[in-house]
Amino acid sequence: MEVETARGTIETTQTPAPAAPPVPVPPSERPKTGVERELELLTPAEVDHGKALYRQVLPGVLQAPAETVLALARKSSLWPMTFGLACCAIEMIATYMSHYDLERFGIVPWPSPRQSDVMIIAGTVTKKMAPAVKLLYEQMPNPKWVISMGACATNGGPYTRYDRVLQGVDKIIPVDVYVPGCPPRPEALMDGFIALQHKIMEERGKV
Amino acid sequence: MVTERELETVELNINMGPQHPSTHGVFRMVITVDGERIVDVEPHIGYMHRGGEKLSETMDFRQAIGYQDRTDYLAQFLNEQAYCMAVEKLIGLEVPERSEYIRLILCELNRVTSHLMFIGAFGIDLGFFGTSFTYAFRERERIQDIFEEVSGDRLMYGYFRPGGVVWDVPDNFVQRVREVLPYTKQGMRDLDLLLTENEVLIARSRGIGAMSAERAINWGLSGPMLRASGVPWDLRKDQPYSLYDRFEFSIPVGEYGDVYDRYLVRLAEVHQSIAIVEQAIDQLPDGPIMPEKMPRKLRAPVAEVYAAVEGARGEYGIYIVSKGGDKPYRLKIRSPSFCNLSALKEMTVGNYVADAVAILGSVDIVLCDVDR
Amino acid sequence: MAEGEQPDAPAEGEPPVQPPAEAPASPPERPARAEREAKAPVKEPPPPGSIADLFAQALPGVSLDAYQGLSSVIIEIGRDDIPKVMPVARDDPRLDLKFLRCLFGVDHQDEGLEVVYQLLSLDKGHEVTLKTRLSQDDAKVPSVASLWKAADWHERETRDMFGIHFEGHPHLLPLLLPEDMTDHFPLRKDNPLAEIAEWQGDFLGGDAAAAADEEVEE
Repeated sequence: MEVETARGTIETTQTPAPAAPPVPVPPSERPKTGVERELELLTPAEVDHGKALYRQVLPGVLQAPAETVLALARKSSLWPMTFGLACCAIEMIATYMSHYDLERFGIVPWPSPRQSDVMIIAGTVTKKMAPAVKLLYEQMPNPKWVISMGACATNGGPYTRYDRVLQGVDKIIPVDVYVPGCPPRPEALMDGFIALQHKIMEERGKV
Repeated sequence: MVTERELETVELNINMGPQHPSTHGVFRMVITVDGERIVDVEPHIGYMHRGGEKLSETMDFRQAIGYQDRTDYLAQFLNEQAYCMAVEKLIGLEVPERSEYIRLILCELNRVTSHLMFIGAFGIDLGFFGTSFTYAFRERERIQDIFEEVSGDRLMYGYFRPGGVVWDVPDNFVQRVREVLPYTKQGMRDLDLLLTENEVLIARSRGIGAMSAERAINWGLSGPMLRASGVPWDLRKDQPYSLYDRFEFSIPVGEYGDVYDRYLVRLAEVHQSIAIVEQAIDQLPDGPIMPEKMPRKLRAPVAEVYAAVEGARGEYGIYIVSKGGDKPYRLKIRSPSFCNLSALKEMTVGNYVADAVAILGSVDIVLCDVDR
Repeated sequence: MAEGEQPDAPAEGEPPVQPPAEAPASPPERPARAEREAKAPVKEPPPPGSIADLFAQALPGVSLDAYQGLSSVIIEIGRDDIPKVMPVARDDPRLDLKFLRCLFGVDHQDEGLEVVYQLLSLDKGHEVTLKTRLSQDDAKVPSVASLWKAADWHERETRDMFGIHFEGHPHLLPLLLPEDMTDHFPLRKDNPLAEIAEWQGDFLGGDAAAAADEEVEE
């Protein structure tokens, strides 16, 4: 590049001096965004420093009672324990798969009882299995719900006359939603979950 | 400093089940381990023992079909086929040709769906965490749509009757099957690409749980487990029933009898089943679906009969003891999963704990079939 | 088993049972033995050259009652002959019955219990059904678990269902039944079905409530 000196323009390979670094803008002079901008629009007399800012800026939002918020959170993120016993388990799995897709409701199957909310009893409960079912129910933390899926879990189903079959899982644990069918269609199981969600919203504040 | 030889180790009992994500249903294994090596396995079954055999004695021959569906709930048509063959042999009914073709096509498609479920679950057992399952179920749902159009139900069909089938297939049956088969082949290609040459799968399944041919026969194994050990015994070829002698298909046979061979055998069987369906659907004749002189009440003579089919898991057989009347006196179900599972200890001892899951997955049990 | 009693609801997915053209003949008691034997068909002898002849050649001293069943040749042997017959059936090169298909029991009420063995030879392709009769009070059979390992679980299951004791079995523990319910055997004919629980009768209302007003069987 060319540089001008006292003796005229000469050619050098020297790179030009770097430009001066930009001067940082102090915070008070930066453009305002978000809540601060909204605050700017309010007159000083309207700002009450004792109350939460978001309530003054966005009135009417997030003033729901805690129980509604909790119920909304619980129903939108029900994690069932994968507890498929018999043939209904296949329909339960088909409901999770991409054709019927239960996961769009926030329902994620989870193998451990200690981190799940719902227990879907899908299949016949025999008297040999009953203590294990009760133990798993007691291992689940509150709040917890139970969906009894299929005819066998409701009252023994086609196998009710055999004396080693428990005639319905509600003899050992409390059930919230019964889904009939042998096996119930995936749409019926989704209907059961939506009914459970209605129940959770209705029960808010009382449980 | 203590060397390893001087360490006193204690054998640990690990309880897997009855609720466990890797056991296919309610099955309990008590594994005794020394370090990571399995020393002893004790399977505990019976958590799904619901008395299908006893309850079938109270039903007449047409009503007992419902219990057959629910025994092996992944290969329902094959169960119904065995039961209907036994009753037909007992009473002396002759099935018209159209019904035989319909039954055969549905049975082979059911074998495809059952093996798809196995391949999906096998992938999950070996760590694929849902991918293989989702692929497999996508193809399964397509075939299940055909089953629903034919029988009205998604899972417990109850479509076969002694003598034939309960009603005729819909008019677009042939066209629907022809539509779905290319998708099934494409799905199998996807699963094949995903699983078969996968290093992790091969490392976790090659050489694990091998059974030699002699021991397999002594333990009474049947189906893909027996064929993977090198014994070319398939009831469709060796004791033919229905119309299998009219179609050309081969029997895939494995070499070592390990977990990987069982997977390969089932994968190849799907292709053979698709080939049978393609041949059969071209030949589907017209005609009646029930014999003309069909008695109103099925009364059986005093006799005993056994009929077996090559089910998806092995030989599924029905033994009926009849003392006259319209109900079976004793209905015994020879279930393949029960016999295959009894060999679990032999296959598992000496391997690592992680291999126990792979071996159990390769037996492809259905718990309601084990416990009936 | 309750006499002629059907479960309340029709079985799933079935067409309704058509009413019979003639009056249904379901006798409340079993007919007398003479009547039943008159109805029983004559037992046809097996065709010559069948597996019954091979058995007769391999076991000359044992009494075998062979006849042709609907699916295979059925041979009845005595209970005490089992330790002699079974090893020969498996190892004799003419018979070569290395595959035990199935092993189960049947409860013929007055005529005793019966144990049925189904054997198959994969190389030769022939099969046979062996049967042996026991009396109800003396339900013991020698075990074949040492010959065919497949018999291991089948014998445990038969013991659970019928109460037949297999002598010589390595560990004859309950297999299918819960540990605390192994005293009565489900598949015996004198073991009844469970009654439907009481509270369900209240929901049904009317006559059904009175009919279903029974205790659940524990």
